[in-house]
Amino acid sequence: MTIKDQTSQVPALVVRDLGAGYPRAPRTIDQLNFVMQPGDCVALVGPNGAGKSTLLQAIAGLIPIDTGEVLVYGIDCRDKDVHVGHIPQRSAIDLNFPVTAHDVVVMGHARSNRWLPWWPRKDRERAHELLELFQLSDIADRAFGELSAGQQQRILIARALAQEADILLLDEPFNGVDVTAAAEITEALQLLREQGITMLMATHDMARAARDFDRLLLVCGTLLADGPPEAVLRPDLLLQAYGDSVGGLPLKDGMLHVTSISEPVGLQDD
Amino acid sequence: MTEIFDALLEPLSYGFAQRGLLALMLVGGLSAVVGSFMVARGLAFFGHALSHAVLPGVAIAYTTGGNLLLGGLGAGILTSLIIAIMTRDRKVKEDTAIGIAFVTMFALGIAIISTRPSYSGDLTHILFGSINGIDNGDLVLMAAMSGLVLLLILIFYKQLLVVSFDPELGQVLRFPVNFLRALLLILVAVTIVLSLQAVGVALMLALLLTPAATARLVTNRMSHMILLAGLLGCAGGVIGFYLSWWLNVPPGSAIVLELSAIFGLVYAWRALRQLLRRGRPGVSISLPLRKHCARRAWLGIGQPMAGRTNRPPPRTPTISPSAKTVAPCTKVRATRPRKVIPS
Repeated sequence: MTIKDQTSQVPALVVRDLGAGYPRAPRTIDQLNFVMQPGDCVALVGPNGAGKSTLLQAIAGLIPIDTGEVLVYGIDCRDKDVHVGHIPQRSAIDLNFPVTAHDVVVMGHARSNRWLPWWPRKDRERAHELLELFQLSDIADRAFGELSAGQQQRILIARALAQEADILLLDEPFNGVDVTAAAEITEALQLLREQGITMLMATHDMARAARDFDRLLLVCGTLLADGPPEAVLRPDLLLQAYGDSVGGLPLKDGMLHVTSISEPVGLQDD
Repeated sequence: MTEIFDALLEPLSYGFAQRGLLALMLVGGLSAVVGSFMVARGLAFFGHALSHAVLPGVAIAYTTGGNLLLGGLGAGILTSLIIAIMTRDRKVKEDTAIGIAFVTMFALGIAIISTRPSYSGDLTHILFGSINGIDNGDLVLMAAMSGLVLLLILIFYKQLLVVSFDPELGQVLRFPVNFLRALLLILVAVTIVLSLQAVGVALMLALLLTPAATARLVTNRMSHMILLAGLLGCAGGVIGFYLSWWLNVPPGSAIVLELSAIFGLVYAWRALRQLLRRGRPGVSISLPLRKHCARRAWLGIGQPMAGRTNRPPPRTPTISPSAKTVAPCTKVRATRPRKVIPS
């Protein structure tokens, strides 16, 4: 049983006055506050170096918290009872490591029986069920590194589900993927949303964030805006976050078409 | 047939040869198992460095009559610490730090050994091993320590696997990541020191890497890789022992050459298999389909399905007559049955 089952009345995530950064480096995020309720799906947007990955890593307990606190279902995120599913950028994973898709998913169960040198039947079957859920059964025995970017991301999402995570943190899942892979990942995220899983996703793609998420957090060292896409993707806020390199233009349907003078940061493809 | 048995049994009539064979099997299997983690994590250079960096510790123990294992272990841990401290400054990359540390430690070891009158002979023993000098006490210590290392790997297998593949997942699962990293390096250092007497510092790396790299060529699973590498390392020890006996070459070089030959053969077999699978450039024919074609041809049923491949036919884009553009696929989510996460 996870803490989520025991404390369903409290917010899924509370970030209060958070200040964090990498060791021996200047603090990346400071005075950051927001709350997520169970089942919330929130996109985290902001420029490079704004602290999106830092925030996710602080919530996951991967980097030390300098100031403030992060509570997952009312418990400090560094507590051993907190199950956080962190899906890193694919570049953070060694793709030549000898593991199959099934091995990667079953690793999500490693916490419950870490001293057993083998995977119990229950865990292996659960991993197969999750692979089937994401329509990956036919590639269960293939090497993880040989799979497409979309398949790899879906496997990492399945692994996070195997962890029975209280909250899912996704770090740029659409980075470096083609249109097909992006569609596969979107479908997987939709599946998570339908299951009522609390999810916080960092992304550069503001158009996708605005289209697929009801709530956005715009960060740039600290929280600049928190709310629905129309309220967050405002030209003044974007100018504050991205500086002179980005301009925002409202469209007819209330969405914002974000264009960059130096490089494209998002495309309106609807 | 009798001659073959005689040739195989002849060396075993000598006590030192029996001990040598057992020692080579032990260190061959153990090194391959430990080396599997090094190959999987891409730590080959670190293994090379550590195998040389234990030299000063071994040399001090050798000259003072101390415990070789403890001496080697101490030097190995000291080297790991030096590398960790050097890489704190981001201007020094890890491979640079490893290179500087291991050459320094190796030079220190040679300097210490050179203080002894029997410098040349001692250095040769440490660099290339002296399998004939293994006594029963050494063998018992080797077996006990090998058992301990294998037991620790078994106990920590799952955690080592997770931390090796994705250290962040290890942290999220609240595994003691730094302890596990240190544990792996200590296990490598112990393995290296245990193997010193059998194959020596110079050739040690081959026992760590070659069987594991060979196993990696044929499997995509870490557990299978470890088992296969362990068997290969053990078998490599036996084959190397007999080659050494029959060809009158040092066991260390016999094992290394034979393990490299096995690696080369497996590599060539794999490359050939890929070439055959690929068929002509750009066309991939699956093995079951080729077998099916061959069976049909042999039974005389129709014509062999030459030219058929497992590649799906090219998809024709759906053209919207009005828009004259490729119609986007928007029905996938709606038509696919909704699934519920099984609990």
